[in-house]
Amino acid sequence: MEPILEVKNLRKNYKDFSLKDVSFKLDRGYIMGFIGQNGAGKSTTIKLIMNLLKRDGGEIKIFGKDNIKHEIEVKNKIGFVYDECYFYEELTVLEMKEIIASFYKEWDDDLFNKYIKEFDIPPKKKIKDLSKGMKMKFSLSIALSHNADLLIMDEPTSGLDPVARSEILDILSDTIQDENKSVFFSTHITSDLDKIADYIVLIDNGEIILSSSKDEILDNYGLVKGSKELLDDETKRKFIGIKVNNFGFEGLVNDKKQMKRIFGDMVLIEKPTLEDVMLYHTRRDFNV
Amino acid sequence: MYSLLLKDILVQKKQFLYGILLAAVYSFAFSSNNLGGVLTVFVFPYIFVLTAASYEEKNKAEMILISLPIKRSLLVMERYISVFLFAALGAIEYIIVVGVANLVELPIKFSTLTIEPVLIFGLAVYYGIYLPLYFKFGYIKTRWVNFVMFFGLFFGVAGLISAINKYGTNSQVLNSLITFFKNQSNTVVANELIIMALLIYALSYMISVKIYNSREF
Repeated sequence: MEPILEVKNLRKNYKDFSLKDVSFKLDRGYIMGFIGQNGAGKSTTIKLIMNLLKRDGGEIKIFGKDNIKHEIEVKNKIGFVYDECYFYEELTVLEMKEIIASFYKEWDDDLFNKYIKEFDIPPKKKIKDLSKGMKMKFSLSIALSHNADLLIMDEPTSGLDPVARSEILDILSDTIQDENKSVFFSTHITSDLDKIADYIVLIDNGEIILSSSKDEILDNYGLVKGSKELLDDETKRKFIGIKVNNFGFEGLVNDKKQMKRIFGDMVLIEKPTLEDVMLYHTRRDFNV
Repeated sequence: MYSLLLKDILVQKKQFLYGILLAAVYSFAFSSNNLGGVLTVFVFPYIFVLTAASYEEKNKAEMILISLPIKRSLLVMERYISVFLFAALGAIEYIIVVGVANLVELPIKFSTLTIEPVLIFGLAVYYGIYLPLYFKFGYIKTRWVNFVMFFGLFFGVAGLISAINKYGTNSQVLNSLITFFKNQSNTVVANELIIMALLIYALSYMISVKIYNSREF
């Protein structure tokens, strides 16, 4: 079966920033976390997928179809949630829903009503009077109510309190119980992905620097801690990033078994979090 | 299309109450020359199309609209249609105001509404010029253009007419144009104006679609 989302050699050039041959693919039934610092190119990539920006090169295929040539068809099967509320804040929840619903072929009003009941969203309230968490849940209700196969989310949890974040993540986990659906989720809060992501794509300065399954990363990568005397030019080269202070060093490697062979019990090797993986890959001062 | 038009009405529904007031003021103020209705119909799109555009820009709602399964050309068409929708709503509010005033037999003279083809022509030319600029640069950057166009039109037309009346015209082109229209019946002139309005509006729409299709958000 073809991937639900496939991005190949995607390019976009600005004066001070470029997306350089971005490629990755997402299969049906999985959640992909798209991580990177602010300004790394996450939103640009998502805007190119949604045709909000025009690409300078490369290919984007959704359900095996070009995202521009088959724009209306593919957008009917995409649910989107953005980092901010871009709805008309002067309208009520129901008014906004009525307007949006009319454009989707498979809009399911019962499902929408179920979600807003579950999320305690008051249907007659104006959108401007909803809290940030409520707005995000409303956005998610819209995204989930037209039988979309692909959910595209750009930093949906940024600015939310931990309870609202956790609720949103639970909903995403439930969504993915359906094996035909996938979620593409950009965030810089990597702890969100520790729980729910199957795949991780890391972007830095417009380039994909890591694309792998989360389990593979967490199984193979290691956070190595030890005395700085152990480090020489050759061993340093085995690290993705390294941080040295007066007491010793801490560094990230992508093959912890190799480290075990080299240093044995002289170092402590811990399981990294996704945040460690992102930081050591992207922080220039950690680079070897 | 209906939903897109509906959102532009819903976001500013309270404004229609001010519209009633506006229609009443124009009707009363221009009762001597019967221009109240024409002015209301012309001013309504100016207020309502721009207010709708301002809400869209304030909320950055285009991010949502463009992400929905809607062709950009439909979003453009909606703006073009909304001009005449709001003009029609202006006419309806005006008729209601004058109708109620007549019904309660107010001792004030209100002007009645006549929809002249020149009014439709004026709206088509005005928004035919403004809307491509709006689709290129957005509401905030073009609101001064619109402001200048709006007042330029009123003072410009009034100035031009009084200048022609006072000094006559030495321009051969203008003279032959005036003679051309004078020699035709009102119906023929009306038809010509409507056809020209349609052509200008259609051309402007095509330019706007081209601009909006390449716009980035």
